[in-house]
Amino acid sequence: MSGVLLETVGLSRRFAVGRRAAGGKRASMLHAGDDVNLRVHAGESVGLVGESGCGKSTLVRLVSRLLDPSEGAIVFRERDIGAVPAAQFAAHPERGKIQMVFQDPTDSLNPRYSAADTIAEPMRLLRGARGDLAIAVRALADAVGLAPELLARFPHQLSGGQKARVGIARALASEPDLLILDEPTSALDVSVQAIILQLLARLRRERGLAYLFVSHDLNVVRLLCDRVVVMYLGRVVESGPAAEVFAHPRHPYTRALVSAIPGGTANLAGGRIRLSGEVRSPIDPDPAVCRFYGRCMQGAPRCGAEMPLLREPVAGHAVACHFDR
Amino acid sequence: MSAEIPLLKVENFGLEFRTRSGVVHALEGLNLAIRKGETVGLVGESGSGKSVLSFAMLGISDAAARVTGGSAWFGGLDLLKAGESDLAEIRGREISMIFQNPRTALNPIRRVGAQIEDVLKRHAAVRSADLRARAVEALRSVNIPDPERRYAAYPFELSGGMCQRVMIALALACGPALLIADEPTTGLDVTTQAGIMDLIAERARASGMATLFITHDLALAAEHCDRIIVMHAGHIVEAAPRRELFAAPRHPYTAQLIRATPAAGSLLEGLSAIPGNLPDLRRRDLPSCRFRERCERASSACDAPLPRIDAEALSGVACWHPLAVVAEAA
Repeated sequence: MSGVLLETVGLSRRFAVGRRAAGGKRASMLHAGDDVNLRVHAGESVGLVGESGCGKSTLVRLVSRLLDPSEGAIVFRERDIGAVPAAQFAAHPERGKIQMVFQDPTDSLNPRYSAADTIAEPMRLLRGARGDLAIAVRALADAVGLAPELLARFPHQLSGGQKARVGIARALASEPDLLILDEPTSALDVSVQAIILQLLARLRRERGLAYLFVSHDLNVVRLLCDRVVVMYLGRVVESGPAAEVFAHPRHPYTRALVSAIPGGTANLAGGRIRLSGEVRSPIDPDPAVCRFYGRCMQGAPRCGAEMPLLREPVAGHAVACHFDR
Repeated sequence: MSAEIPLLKVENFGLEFRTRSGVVHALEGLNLAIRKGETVGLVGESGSGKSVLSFAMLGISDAAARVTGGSAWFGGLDLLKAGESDLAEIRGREISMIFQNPRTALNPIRRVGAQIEDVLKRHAAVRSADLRARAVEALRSVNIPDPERRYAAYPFELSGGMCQRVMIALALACGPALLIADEPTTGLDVTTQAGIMDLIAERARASGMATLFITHDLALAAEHCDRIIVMHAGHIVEAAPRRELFAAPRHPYTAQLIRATPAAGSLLEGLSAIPGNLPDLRRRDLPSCRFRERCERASSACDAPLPRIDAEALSGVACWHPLAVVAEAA
């Protein structure tokens, strides 16, 4: 594997919630991302999974520099881009190198732009291209399998699969190194999902792109990712090679997650792990308590007194749990 | 089991929508039956008519909808011809529904406890002094922690999974004989999804309730249904017990759907998309088989009227060139 493309070091983001108390007391803080260390190598595909509210979207917005971190660094192509304020990042030279493919192919396209306009926009804005971009747009449409006669159409004249292709072409237009894919196929029917997944795999191979792939659908993550990072309430609880994490999950939360994947009879062997208890509040969490404590089937007094840190019992496979041996 | 009179029996049901751009032939010639205690999965892509069918069963179709024929017997009543007052008695008491998006289906400006009380007041003979206790009990029965406190919560104060539990509590408050669950877990996490599905199954088992589970997720249906009915463009194309359907799909569409769904152990190269789109249901020249234009097995024999699946048959296929029944490798 070649060099590190993206690395976050101790990345945290807290949001002030509620009213500031009168006596000068600090406002309550919601910890959306807490000490996240994430690494994406050039050309690598990393899956980011976890339940809603676990901080996936916050992390994505930090990395794509739409949000400023509270603490920590974001190193992209050996430059700390975390220090650049989000408001100024639009003009930053690295802007075009990180692109996003959004969840809803309809909502994320400008209804008044034709497919060709949509694809040409990042070329003008981020690569400073001028003049007639028809040839470049056509080449890109061709790469994502969008028929040239569709380029003049507007979003409402395109099918879901075609809109997804336009979204992908737009993301590629600025020639990025890192593509952030936020549930790119969840709005598509299974009949087109397969073909979009194959397209994404092919584009990555051909263009040497790195993917940060956010998804609920663990069956899809397994197909598309080399490595998986599992988050729970703002913290990374496990990360490792995708095949390894799915076959031998080590953290209790990952085990519950993997056992809940609907997959016909294939994963019924071990039986499903049922989580009970309530999710802990992400607002002012106790730094000495494991975030999964209370819902965890292995929870013990130690989990309420000491936050488990990420350790690497096996090279490349990290887990944050006291009970992992 | 098959000798039993089904709880719901739909025969030759057709429905169309009159729109400005023409008549949409949404459903045609549907036959299906649901027995007491059975969980039936209704699977298909968006636009296949799954939700339209369930709305019609409850008499809550869009104003533009018109039933073109058929019957839907539930007990001694034909739901398609019943008057509004009869339907109002049945809805919520005998047949109830869990809607896809709990946040929009719940009343945003009423406390969830009061919403459950509304149902109890309308359908169950509950003394007003007991209402609150019954509503709290209903919340407790769907594993909502701290139900006394949640009784007074508004929907926006609850998470998506919690709202869906409230919807289930509402739907089950009067102990219905048939529950229609329309994509009850779409948009929820896999762990929450598993919890919700377990809950529905537990309650169904406890009370002998039948469930019609509508989903686009074949893998989820595979895990939770006794029998699966596959819809395509307003037709039922195949019905089969779960194991049979996955081991040996007979309709070409079912086979392609299974091949397109990522499952545990499937490879990216092994997935294949289904060519083409659903036909435009406004067309006057819709072929008798609506899958014909996407099908690799189509021939002139497909011009003949489509073979129908008998409502009470446990399995069947609506195709002139079905895939062969292969001996199941046990």
